[in-house]
Order: sequence, then structure tokens, then C-alpha cells
Amino acid sequence: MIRALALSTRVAFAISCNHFIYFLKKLPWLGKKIPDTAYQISTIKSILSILVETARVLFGFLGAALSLAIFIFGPMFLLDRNLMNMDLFYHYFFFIYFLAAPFLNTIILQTRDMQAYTMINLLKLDKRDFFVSKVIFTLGIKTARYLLIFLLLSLFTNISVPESLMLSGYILFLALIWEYLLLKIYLKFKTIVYDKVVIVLASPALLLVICYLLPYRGIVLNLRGVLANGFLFVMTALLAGFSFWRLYSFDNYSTVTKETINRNKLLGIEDLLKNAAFADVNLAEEKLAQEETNGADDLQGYALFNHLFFTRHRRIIMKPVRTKVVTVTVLALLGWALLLFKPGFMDPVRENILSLSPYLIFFMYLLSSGERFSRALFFNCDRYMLKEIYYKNKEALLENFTVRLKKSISLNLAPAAAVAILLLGTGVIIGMGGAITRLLPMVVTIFSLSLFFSTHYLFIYYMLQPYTADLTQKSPLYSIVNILIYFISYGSIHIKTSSVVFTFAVMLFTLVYAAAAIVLTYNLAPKTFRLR
Amino acid sequence: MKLILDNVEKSFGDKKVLKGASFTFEQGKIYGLLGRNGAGKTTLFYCIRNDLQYEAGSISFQGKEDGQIEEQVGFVYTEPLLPEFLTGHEFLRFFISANEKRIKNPRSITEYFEMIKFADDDRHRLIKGYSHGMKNKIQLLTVLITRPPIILLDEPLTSFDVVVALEIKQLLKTIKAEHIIIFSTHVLQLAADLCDDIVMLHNGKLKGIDPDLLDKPEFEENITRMLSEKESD
Repeated sequence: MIRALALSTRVAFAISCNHFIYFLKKLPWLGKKIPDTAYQISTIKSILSILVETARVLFGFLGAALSLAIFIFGPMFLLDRNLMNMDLFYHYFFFIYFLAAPFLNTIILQTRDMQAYTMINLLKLDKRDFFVSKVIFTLGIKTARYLLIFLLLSLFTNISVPESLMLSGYILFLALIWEYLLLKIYLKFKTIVYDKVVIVLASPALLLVICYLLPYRGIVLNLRGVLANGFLFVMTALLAGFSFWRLYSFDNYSTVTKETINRNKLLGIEDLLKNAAFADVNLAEEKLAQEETNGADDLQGYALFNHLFFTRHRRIIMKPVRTKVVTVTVLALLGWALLLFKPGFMDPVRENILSLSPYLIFFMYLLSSGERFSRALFFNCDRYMLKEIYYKNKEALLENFTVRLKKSISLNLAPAAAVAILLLGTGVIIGMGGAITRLLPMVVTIFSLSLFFSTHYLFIYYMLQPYTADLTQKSPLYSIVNILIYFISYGSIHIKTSSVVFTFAVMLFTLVYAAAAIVLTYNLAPKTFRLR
Repeated sequence: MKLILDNVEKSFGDKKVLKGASFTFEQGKIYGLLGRNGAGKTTLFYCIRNDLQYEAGSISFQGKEDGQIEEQVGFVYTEPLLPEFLTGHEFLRFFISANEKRIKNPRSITEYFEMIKFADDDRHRLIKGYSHGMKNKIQLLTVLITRPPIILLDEPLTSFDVVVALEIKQLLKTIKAEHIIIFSTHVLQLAADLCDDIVMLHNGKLKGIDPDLLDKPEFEENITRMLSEKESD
């Protein structure tokens, strides 16, 4: 047992360290400084183990504290601005830690548990030793964490030190009892409760609703006396002890592992995770085949290739555009209806409509489908073709880039037009009359931004091509650029300037950016646009 | 025609995969490139085709070096990569028109399909639904259509059934006179059966094997022994 605990802890440390070194090696400058031998230098790994595990303990502690703050102390404060109401505390504690939490935590009956797979199937550790040691380790850490939090809380709430011990004791006992109950349910009904998504999501949700609704309606279950009762505590402890003894003496963990760490399931989930980033741009064979491809008969070469690509992927390419146009239309109709039926809203709109320009950047950022468009191109086309010399050839690459750029611009025009109509329609409804021409700079801004985002995403895709053939994203720079674009778009909300100056600035920037992007792509893409 | 590799070196991080690989491959022969897992066979192919930048040495063909020879190389990958949204027929139509200048004696798409015995029913199905072997056949066909002087085959026959594998072997034998064909494999029997010369990639270096060895009963034993030798031996 101790050997199993030591071994699985050591392997878990090694895995976290390797992940961390792998992550560091992927960083742009620092990564190159780290040699491959870093994986085998035991001093580095020991130091990293300590760092990684300290971070894990710290985050676990913060997570537990946060869950108490969100689920217990937050609602307590909201309900009566009083964090000392211990009856309410025990009411929430009972519902959340006795009833709801067990639905969200399990140790043994976890399906697709990679650690269990590694330790049992690959390292051939005894199943019982592994599971029991995992139960001891996980629950030991969890109990210590809560004990520390409750002891800290005892300094400035009404929780006493003995209560801190009792509450963390209950958390430990309940977890053990639930662990055993879940195993019993599995053995009796061959059902893994955690695989039943409805049960796992609906039961805690329902319990939380009851938990918060009762005090809101003035009903607080008086559980402090009940839980603090020594008899109940001892009985629960005995039941937990019995559960642990049953888990320890259970000698048929093979039936469990056959179900939970089945190799096919684990490999399936790995593929699923890998493909998850591209799930929204993947299309089933029958859907691909359903699309009519009229007009392809006279086409040859890349004209044929691109025509068939865009026709067959119409669904995934058009879907986000359609969704965005519909969203803007619904927003427009609701807004217009509000203005017509509640004319009181017209004045603030009239006063502010001309100062909305800075918001357009973030709004158009949200409406752009550029990033998804690039992912669709990679997943459905470039990952197959980028190994071919004739496809990487400069002329072919640029011909395709031009076709794609035109497509990207035309796709993003539809949501831009919808926003322009929303704006002009609002101008008409609030009675701007001839002054509606003052909105025209904003319309120009909308179309400029649409052009900017259409070009930008395709440009960085061609410059940084971040994906590998096996669908992992390898370029941290690509993620950094995307995050930067988000912050710049969001930050631009705070720009204070007139709409004409703003329009001019946006237009100028877009034109310079688009021109630079095209020139750079034409010159550099043959080198940069390749499989990683 | 000669493909000359001279002291090619390639590393990945701290690991040196090619440590001065040198060999001259000649037209009219099928070379079997033998090596253990991870020996660097695919890396060597990538270097020849300029998909990977190597650190030292040179690769030349007909007086051209490095970056200039990639157009002369046809590559059949172990894992076939084809645009799955096209049917086999559409892909060939696209491929032939996109490579028009490189195809010397073009034939009809039907003739090309016949060449690899590709069933009528499958020609107008999306590649997405093709089996691994079918995709591999189409990939091989692209090389047969453009007929580049250098043909690199990275473990291509493993996904074919015995009948197709035999047909492909015959096909390779019929076209070899005009090409340099290098065929990487782990399967000794296949190498002995199909190839004219065996080249071993071991400890980062290339080494030709005496062709007379191929027919000897102790061939397998000798090759295994050589591939097991450590660098210092």
C-alpha cells in the first residue's frame, strides 16, 4: 500500500514536471535555451516537483476557499449581510457538502482516468493498492485543506476550533461513505453514476435551488445542533470507517477497471479532445456529399478545387455568419420596438448615438468569423495539402490566398451590412432626418473594421500557421496575437474622439494594415505557410 | 541520373539523427532503405525533399542542390494525406490540371484509375469514406502520373492487401528504369523481394549492403546483426 502510494505520487510528480518542461520548451525564446536533457536531470525535476506541487496545493487551497466563499459566505452576505449567522451557515453546509458535492467528486469510479490507466495498465500496480492509496491521499489532502480553512475562519467568524475539526471530519466521512455507496451502486446495477450526465448535473442543481430557496422564503433548517451532536458525528465516523474497510477489503477492482479505464474509451477521449478544437469546423461525410456542386464542370485546377471546397463546406462556413446576422437583426428589431413603444428611450439614444464609434471595434471583433474561417481551412483542406510541393508552390499559394481573402471579405460583409442597417434604421426611428448623414462616418467605420478583421485573421494564419498535422496548436505567438487583438478591441471602447476623426483613423489603419498584410503574405507566405 | 547525399547531418534538439549520411543512388534501381524504428528513415526522406533543413552536408541531383531538387521528388507517405472533401475522380481532375506542366504523356482519368485497379463504384465517392489502402493507392497514383525522377516511398505497401501489394510491386518494377526509387521498410522479406540494392540507415549513417547477400539464406541474420550493432562497435 505504501509502495503504491509512493510510486503513484512519484509518477504523478514526474508527469506534472514533464508537462511543465514541455510547456517551457514551447515558449518562444526561453524554450530554445532548455535542453532536451532537462527531462532527465533529477535536480531540475526535484525542484520543479516541489514548485508544481506547491502550486497545486496552493491552488487546491484557494479553490476550496473560493468554493466556500461562493456557495456559502457569498449567499449568506447577500441574504442578510451577516456572516455570523451560524444557523444559515450550517443549512448551506449541509446541503452543499453533505448532499450536492458528492455528485461532483469521485475517486474510484472515474471513467477515463488517465492516472489509473497509467498506474494499473502500464505500470501494473495492484488495483486495490492503487485505489485505496489514492483514496487516502486525495481525501487526506482534502481534509487537511478544509481543516486549515475552517481554523482560519474560526479567527473571525463564529466557527469554533472544535467545530472546525468536526466540519472537516464530516467532509472526510461523507466522501468515504459516498465512495463506498457508488461502488455498491455500480456492483448492483452496473451503472456508473458519474456517466449519467443528467444525474450529475441535475441533482446538484436541484439541491442548490432548494438550498438557497428555503432561506429566501424564510426557512432555515436548524442543523447546527444536529450536526454538532456527538452521537451523529460518531455514527458518521463509524459508517465512514466501515465504508473504508469495505473499500479496503474489496477484492474485485478488476470489474471496475474493465469499465472505467478501458483502452478504447481512453483513446476515444484523446481523439475527441484533440479534435475538440476543430469540432465546429468538421463536417460528416454524408453532409459533405449532400451539397450540390453545380458549375464545376468547366473548372480546372485551383478554380475547381476552391469551388468544390467552398461549396461542400458551405454549412460550416455560412453557419456563424448566419447566426451573427440573425443576432444583429433580432437586436435591431427588439431595439426598434422598444424605441417605438417607449419613446422615452429616444432622448438618451439621440444624445449618445454619435459617440458610439469606439464600441464598434469590439462589436465588429465579436461579429468577425475570421478565426473560425482559418480553422476550417486548415482542418478540412490545408492539413492534407500542405505536404504537397505543387500546393506549396508560390503561384498556387498566392492564388489560393487571393480566393480565400475575397471569400473572407464577402463573408464578413453580411454582418457588417446588418450592423449598418441597425444603425441607420435607429437614426430614422429617433427622427434624425437630414442629420442622418452624420451617421455615415460610422457606417464607413463598420465596413472598414469588417475589412480589417477579414484580412487580419487570414494574414496571421498565413504568417504563423499555428497547427500541426495531428491538430495540436504549436505557436504560442498565434495565441498571443489573438489575445492582443481581443484586448485592443476591448480597450478601444475607452477612446474619446469625434466620430469623423475616429473613422478616418480606422480607415487609414485598415488600408495600411491590409496593404501591408497582402504584401507580406505575397513575399513571406511561401516560407511561413507550412505544416508545423 | 544520380542522387548524391554527402555527409548529411540533422539533429532534433540534442538528438543527432543523421550523422554524416552519405550515399549515391542511381537511376534504374529500386533501393530498399532499411533501419530500425526511429533510425531516421523518414527524416532522411524529408531532407531529400527539402521539407526539413539539415545542418551540414549536401544533397544534389543532376548538378542541382538542396532547395532546387524538391520539384524532382515524388513522395508517398505512410499516412496518406488527401483532401477528403473531393471524390477520387475530382481529386485526379484537380491534380492533373494543377500539375499540367509536369505531366509528360497524359492519359485519361479512367486510364489512370485502371492502372491501379481502382473499382468503378469508388471513383465518385468522397475520399473521406475511403479506406487507408484506397487512399494510399490514390497517393501512389499521383506519383505515377507525374513520374518525378526521384520517387521516395515511405513504408507504402503495409496498408495494401496481398493482391494489390503484388500489383504495385510489379508496377514499380516496370517503371524503375527511368527513376531512382527509394523504398523505406522494416520488412526484410519485402526489401529482399522487391529491391535491387539494400541501404542500411544505422547510427545516423548510410551503408550499402552487398547485393549478393540478398539471395543468401543468412541474409536476415546478417542484417539483424548489423542493425543491432552499437555505434562504438
